[in-house]
Amino acid sequence: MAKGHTARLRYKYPLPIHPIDDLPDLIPQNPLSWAYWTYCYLTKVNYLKFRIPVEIIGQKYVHILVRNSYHMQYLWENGFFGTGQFSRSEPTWKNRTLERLNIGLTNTRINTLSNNTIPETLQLEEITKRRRMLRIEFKQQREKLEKQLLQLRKNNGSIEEEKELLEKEREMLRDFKAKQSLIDIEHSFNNNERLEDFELIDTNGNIIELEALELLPVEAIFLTFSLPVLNISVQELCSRLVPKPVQNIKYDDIQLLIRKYIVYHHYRSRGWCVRSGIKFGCEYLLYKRGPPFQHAEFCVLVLDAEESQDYTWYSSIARVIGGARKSLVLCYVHNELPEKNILQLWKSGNFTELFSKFNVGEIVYKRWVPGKNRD
Amino acid sequence: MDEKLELVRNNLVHYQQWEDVRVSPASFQWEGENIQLIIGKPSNSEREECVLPVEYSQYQESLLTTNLIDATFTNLVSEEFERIVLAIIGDDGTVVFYYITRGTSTI
Amino acid sequence: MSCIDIEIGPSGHVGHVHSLEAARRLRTSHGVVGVLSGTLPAAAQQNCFLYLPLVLPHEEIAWLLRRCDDGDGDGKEKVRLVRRQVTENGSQLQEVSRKQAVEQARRDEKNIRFHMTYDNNSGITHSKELDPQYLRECQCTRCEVYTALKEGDASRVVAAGSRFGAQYTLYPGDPLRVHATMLVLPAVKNNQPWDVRALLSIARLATTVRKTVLLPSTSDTKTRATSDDTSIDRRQSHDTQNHVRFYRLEWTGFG
Repeated sequence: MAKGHTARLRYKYPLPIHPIDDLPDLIPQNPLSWAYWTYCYLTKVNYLKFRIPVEIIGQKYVHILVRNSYHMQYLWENGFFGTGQFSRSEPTWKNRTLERLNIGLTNTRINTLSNNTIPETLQLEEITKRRRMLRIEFKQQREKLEKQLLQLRKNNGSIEEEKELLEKEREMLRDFKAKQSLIDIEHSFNNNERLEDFELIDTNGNIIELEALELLPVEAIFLTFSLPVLNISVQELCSRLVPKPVQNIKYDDIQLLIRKYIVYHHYRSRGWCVRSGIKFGCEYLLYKRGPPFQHAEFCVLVLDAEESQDYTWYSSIARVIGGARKSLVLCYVHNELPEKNILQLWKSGNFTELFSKFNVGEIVYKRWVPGKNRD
Repeated sequence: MDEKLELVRNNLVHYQQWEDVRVSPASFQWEGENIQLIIGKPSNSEREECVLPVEYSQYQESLLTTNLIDATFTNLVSEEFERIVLAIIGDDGTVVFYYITRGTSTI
Repeated sequence: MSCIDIEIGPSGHVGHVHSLEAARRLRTSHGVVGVLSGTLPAAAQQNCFLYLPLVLPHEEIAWLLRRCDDGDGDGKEKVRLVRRQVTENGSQLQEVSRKQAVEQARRDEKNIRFHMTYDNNSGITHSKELDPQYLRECQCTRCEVYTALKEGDASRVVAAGSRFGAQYTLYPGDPLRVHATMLVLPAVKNNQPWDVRALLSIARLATTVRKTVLLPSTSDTKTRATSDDTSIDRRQSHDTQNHVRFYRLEWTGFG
């Protein structure tokens, strides 16, 4: 309950564009109120008053980083852009390390925007870690049992012995399921400072922010081309993403990037929260509101309109995605202009014209089994 | 130390909580990129592992080929290691780890 | 001497086994399971449980022929290739020699065109003709991979893997008694850049279904594909070395 409420408040804006909803009350009879209201109206803006600087590292394979904690929080809370380098999604590394080393504010999470301390909830990474350890233990035990079963079958054992082993396996599964549902909320306050941790602490005894928020190339393009959030021009960003001198750029160098960006823009502009899908073997994941609210419902694969793959390619991805209970969306991008025009537009930096000359169509690909899908 | 080594090294030390992590000095060039290993011990295991950082991009062809893996095993990995950890650095900054064993003609 | 008859279809891409006894012997002595493709007479209105004929893919037939020629296995087995001849009285199966089968396959290839068709958004149907040379190269690669897999353990069953999006599924014994242990992916060439996204996704899938992923890799020399034999004809294991190497890929569990 409380979690949903604070989440709604915290992630109020789906994009870094804030509608002007905090104008003062207007009392019609009072001219002073009018004056004040008009002043506020004229001076407020709905975009960010400052631009967020980014650091781009790498030559051929570039990484786009945001280092400042405040900016990282801002980008995360206004559209879930980027991923923390040492976290699963939201950049929580500093808080987790603070907790782990028991430095500074213990048991509370610092909300750097509003300076409120929120009561502690177990961080996502901790829960995942504990679940994984339990699963590893379970798998090791199960492997042992399976080996015994295999031996028994090879040596033509009796049915009773097999039944015994199978019953043991079932009991183990029951125990495991019970343990999973009561992952401890308490913390183990072990003082596990290691030698390596000392490099994290600076001269004042605070932890340095080692983690940066990394933006996908398409996210960075979106935050410069479509919305003025980052402190870099589109031309400069694109010249870093395709690190060749302008004369030598070929169509093959840019076609994939353009296609991926078109699809990203397509879904963002329709209100979806689009994030990297590498964990599920697809290009993007579509969330209705964002990762803290619900799991992603769709996985998107980006294909060229002319492209066709063989049957096993589709079925392998569909199998993985179906296993994660999501739907696969095949997104086809069709270009209206011939290749050399597209290349020309890219080289001249005319991105608005370039990105508007594509069509996007999509197909949902779902496995249909006649025996199971009858209702 | 180039960026991908630094990123994976920090990930292993401060996120995966590995011990005794160090960058192995031997390296070679492959198609313009520097190939080098990181060696360390995972938190729950007794044995050390060799880690090979490789970049992955949404819009560029990958550097990974079987020839590269063979070359890594021949030049950088000592005989006792049967497998290495492939640290694939996504363009969103996350690193995913996969074991890959030495190539064999039969299994 | 007992005999296993395999009917070769057009172009020699698949073979059918019509005898129950032959299917049983293939399964028990050779670890060849194939795929049942016919209607089960006792329960004709369902398609979960099927009956003969047993379909064998090209690479399995090639391996069987070589194995029986080389006198592996019990030495009591003989594998014959047969072809359906249609006469006025009906059709019958006639034995053909390997050479005849290969020649017939070549003749068929000229008459059969393999096409891939697809529509783009504007409703025009494109069709791309597949080069028979390319198909033959794929067949060669698959034969090599299959042989290498069987060489490690002849009682191992190399079954179809399309359920998991892989090329083959490996069982350490009869599929009805044991679980599969490995998934084999379509082979890559040694210098071919990996489709990392696809590899990662299938490696993750393999973790959830408790199997390991094998990636076969073949050498990039062109010496094999230019020779004009299909592998049914070649006595392969003696004159060409096994170019295939296998790499095991699995998710570490962290990260």
